[in-house]
Amino acid sequence: MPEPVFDHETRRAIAALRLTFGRSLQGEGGASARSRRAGRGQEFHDHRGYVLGDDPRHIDWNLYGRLGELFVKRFRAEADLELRILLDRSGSMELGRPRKALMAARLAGALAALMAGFARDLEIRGLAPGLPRIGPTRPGAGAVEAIFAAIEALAPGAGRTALAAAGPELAAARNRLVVLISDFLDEPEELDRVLARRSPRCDVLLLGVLAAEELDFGVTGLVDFVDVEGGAGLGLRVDESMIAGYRRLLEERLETVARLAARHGGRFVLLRSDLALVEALDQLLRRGGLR
Amino acid sequence: MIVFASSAALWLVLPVAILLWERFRRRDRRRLVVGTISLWRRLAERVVVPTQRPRPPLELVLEALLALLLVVLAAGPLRRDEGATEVLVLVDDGPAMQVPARRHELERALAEIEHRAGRPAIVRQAPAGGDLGAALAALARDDRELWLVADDLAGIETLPEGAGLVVCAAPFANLGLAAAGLEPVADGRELFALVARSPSGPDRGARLVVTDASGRELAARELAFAAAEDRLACRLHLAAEPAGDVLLQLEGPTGPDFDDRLGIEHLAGGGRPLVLPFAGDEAWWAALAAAGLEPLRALTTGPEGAAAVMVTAGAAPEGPALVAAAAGIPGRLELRHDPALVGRRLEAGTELLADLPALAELAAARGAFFELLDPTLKVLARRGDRAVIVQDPARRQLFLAEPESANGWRESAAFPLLVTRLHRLLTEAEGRWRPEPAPAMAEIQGRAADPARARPAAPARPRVTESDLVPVVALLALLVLGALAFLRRRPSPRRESAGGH
Repeated sequence: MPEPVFDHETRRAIAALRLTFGRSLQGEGGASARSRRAGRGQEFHDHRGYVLGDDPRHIDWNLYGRLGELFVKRFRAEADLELRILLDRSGSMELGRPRKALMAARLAGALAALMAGFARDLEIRGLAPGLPRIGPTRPGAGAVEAIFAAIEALAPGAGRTALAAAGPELAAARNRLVVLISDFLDEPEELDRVLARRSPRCDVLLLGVLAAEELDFGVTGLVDFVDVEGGAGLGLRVDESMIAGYRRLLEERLETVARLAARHGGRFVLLRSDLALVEALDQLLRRGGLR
Repeated sequence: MIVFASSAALWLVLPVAILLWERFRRRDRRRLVVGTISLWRRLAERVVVPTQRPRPPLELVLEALLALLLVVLAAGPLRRDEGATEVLVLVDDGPAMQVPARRHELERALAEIEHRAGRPAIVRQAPAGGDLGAALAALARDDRELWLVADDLAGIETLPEGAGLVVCAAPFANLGLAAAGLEPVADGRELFALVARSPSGPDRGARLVVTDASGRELAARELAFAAAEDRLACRLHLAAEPAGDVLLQLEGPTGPDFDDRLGIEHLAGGGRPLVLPFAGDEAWWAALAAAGLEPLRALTTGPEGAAAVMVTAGAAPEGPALVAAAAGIPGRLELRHDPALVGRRLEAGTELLADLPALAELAAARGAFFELLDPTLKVLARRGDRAVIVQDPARRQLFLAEPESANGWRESAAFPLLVTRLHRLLTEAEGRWRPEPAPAMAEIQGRAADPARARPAAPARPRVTESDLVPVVALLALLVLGALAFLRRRPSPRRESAGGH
């Protein structure tokens, strides 16, 4: 029997985070129409480094005069934000202990619950063929529970990651935050192509979830590797030097994903699937620029 | 050598080996499902993958060793120390051994010897004739365990020290006349008869009847066998001198089944009557000749007297030879071929078959019976017909021996019993023969079945010692178990598993 995605402990953790997150939001904006995320509102929030594609109108020229570097101003977004959570439901997400798909689903539910208070609408889509779309859901009573139930009802992941499905979501000319949750183990070229479709009004957060066994691979000896998505096989004698090589390649791959995210105006946050949800959300909010 | 008390338990090795192999195979190569193999493929393009198979992990080797030790423990290991490295069995495979029952005993004895030795034995056929004990002694070596399998105890005197002897005896199976003799006495004739009885023979005795040729009863005797008695000798006094032949009839409790006649027709063949001469030597010999018999005569070399041994002529005789023990016969008793009485010794090849040195020293009451050693029988088998006649010409004593086959006995061989008794007489009597009860049939059978008892004069010393190895193996198993526990407590990077497999 599969482990429930939103068990009692998970729900309690999400509820506690909602309280904290909601108070913070109320204290700063004083109105439910104000969003926590930096965006194109009227209230200044902070600076960040300029990247190609940023609106030149937001460059803080005063700061440039003092520091000699380009920074753009960030403002608190108004409550016209659309939240799109794109959930990788491919076969690779079913690996790991606990499964990456479980952590991804909990993160998606938690994000939806946290953003439900001020997002104009939110939608969760699976990045795999044939998965139903959840939402769009208007904020209100029962919206979170409806999202939880819909996520619980998702079929187990299978097949390849359909990254291309994220393209239209990113291309929409709306005030939108797109959260893409995946293990990003596929070749990064397609990710680059998808992110290139991002509209200037759309922010993107790449949320990587990897299993501890993938990050700290420790199996030695004769190993028949089988690709869970493609079914391809590869027999290798794995020793410590090979494991070190694998870790280097994985690190390079993750750096590439982070570089791509930054190039397209987004951020990349890597989380382990064996983290507690509270800890994972804390890392997400701090490193993802949502707090 | 390591042997096992319950060797059947060793079959447990098979399932244990299968389980261990399966475990080793699974350990040796594992299947790992990963999210993507692109990273590993890139790695494989960079590095040269060694093709040598990994050495089995120490833990698995210890597990296999532990399983093997447990199986060995279940089988009950014993260490068998043997004084000899090979077993040589000399088999007296002469004609007497060809009797089916004795062949069976021979096979059983060989199997028993090999079982006790725990290895195949080297079996050699004894040379025809000669001293079997001496022949065996000539084959003695420090690294050899020697056995003699014979149908008698003829070679026991020269049997090398430490050698084993198995006598393949076949029991009497019934009741019958084994021998008879007729002797003139002062007031008539006296008939001696020897009746043999097997364990399966009648317990209540039998009746021996002597008749003349017309069927008139001359004498009769009730025979009562003691429980352990296998043969009974008796004398019957014939007051009236028979005009012609006499007939001995043995009547058992079941009637006609035991109508064992004294084989007169068998002796003569073709239904001719047996002539029992009541006159002097010449008439006796003439009568035998008339019956178509070719006698042998045994004479002592000493001056005091002589004994005669005669055997019927024929192609393939069988049966025990009997020697009449005349009182005070000194010297050596030799068999000589008659009728020419040229004095040549009876020989078969190079073997002197009828040299009975100890017999001459015996002093026995008249009517006692002695049997010739088996080598003599071999000669008789070649010379006689179906019976043996022994006579003391001086005392006009005649003994007849009836072959069991002629009596219709189920078991045809009886030699070892006779020979055993003779051996006792020869070895235990000091100057005088003291009648002793014959060895019980069970004893003879026991010797044949149990090689350890085959040599009563010198019980075989234990050649094989076994020591229990269970404590040693159990200690080894505990050590291996301890090593396994130690290994399993140590953290090992191999124990980390990849996700999703």
